Amino acid sequence: MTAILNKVIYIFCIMGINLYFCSYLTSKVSARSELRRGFVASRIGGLGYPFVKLFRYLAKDYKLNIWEVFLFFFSLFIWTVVPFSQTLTLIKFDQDLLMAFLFYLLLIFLILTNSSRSNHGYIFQNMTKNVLMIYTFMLPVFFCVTSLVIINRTLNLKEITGFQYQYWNIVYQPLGFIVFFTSVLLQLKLFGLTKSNPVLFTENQEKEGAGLGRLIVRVARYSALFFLIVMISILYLGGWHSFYFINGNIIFILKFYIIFFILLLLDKATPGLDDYRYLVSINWRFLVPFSAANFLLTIIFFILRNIYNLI
Amino acid sequence: MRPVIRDFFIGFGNIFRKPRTVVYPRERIIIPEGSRGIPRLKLDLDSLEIICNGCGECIVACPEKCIEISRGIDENGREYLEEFSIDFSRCIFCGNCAEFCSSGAIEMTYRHQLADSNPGSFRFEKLELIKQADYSIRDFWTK
Repeated sequence: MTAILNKVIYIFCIMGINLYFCSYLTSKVSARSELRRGFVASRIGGLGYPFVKLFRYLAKDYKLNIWEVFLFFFSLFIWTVVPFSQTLTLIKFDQDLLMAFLFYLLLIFLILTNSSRSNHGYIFQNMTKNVLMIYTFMLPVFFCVTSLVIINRTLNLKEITGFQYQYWNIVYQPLGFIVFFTSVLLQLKLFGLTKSNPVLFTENQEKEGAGLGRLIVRVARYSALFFLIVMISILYLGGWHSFYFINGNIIFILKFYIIFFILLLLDKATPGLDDYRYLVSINWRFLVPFSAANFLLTIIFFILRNIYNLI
Repeated sequence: MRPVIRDFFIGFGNIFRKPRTVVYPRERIIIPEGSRGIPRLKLDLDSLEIICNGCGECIVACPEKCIEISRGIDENGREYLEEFSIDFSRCIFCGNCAEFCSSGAIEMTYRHQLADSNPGSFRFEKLELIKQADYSIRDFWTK
């Protein structure tokens, strides 16, 4: 029981620290890449500004909705399955990759359900479209992950990481990595963390001074983004394997922040996604065909190697 | 794809460059050369008298009609500039007055900040316009 409690506290701490640094980096990197200053209103380069924002959210009188309570617990609950490090998992499954992606789909569903509501009740007219829109980005991810599962022959995240002790999966699946990364980039844009996104989120959510509810929604969006970055790191970039004398956990943190940094810069380098047709054209003309081709190539390779013993 | 890669590296390089924005009033920038602030009346350096003879070309050139001039006659019967005022609540800093002045008596300075709670303070008289000589250099912030 104490061990589980320790792990819960660890997970809370890691989430809190990551939220602090990532919200700081999101503002600072996007500002500095545009030759602006970012957080400078407070001292020491604006290091205290995320706290100022936190207290600003907390200070506002706000009635929590039941969906927001669900969203808050679920944005933390997703980390019971996905490991931040080799030992930091609460629930152990043999098929935890499957469970992780199911949890992620549920988290997105909750985020969108929460964003579709209004003060006068619930408006579900755009929700189905929004949910389907973001779920279509999971189709290429599904193809890429299935290709990886075929190569690694396991659904366990720790075993997938263990498989990469010699070569990372990016060596076997470079096309899959590019597609997965692009999908994550588009999802980052859809979450509207760097720039408010009018495609998915209604004006009600982005209204100034929305209080604790807005804080929860932002935590949930960051949580979904962290999940995707951790997945890139574990599935393609060797996870928490140590590098010479450097500890594996430090390597994992470095990978996490490097991916986050590259995602932020790429987000700045690509145009804003204000048009639904633009999204559709990227997803259906590039991501889905390439991931399907990657999947077919992997299956052909698998059959030739394991059934006919040709390679 | 190429523009995305180019913009990615530009954005990455920008992180290490000095930001263009300043935190006013803690930091101040040197105003770019050729910027037009409020006009000033030039003095003849030998006699320390106003060069302007009140011919009124600037009134004709001013699109906002914010310049007012009155001429007086001295004891010797010569015309001289009695009053010269500009209403900066209407001035658009176009620089036409300095451009059209045949005797070169008006010059644009770099002073551009005129915020005040009193609307009457935007009307600058002859002496105040002469005093603007301090602002004719670009780094007047350091004064």
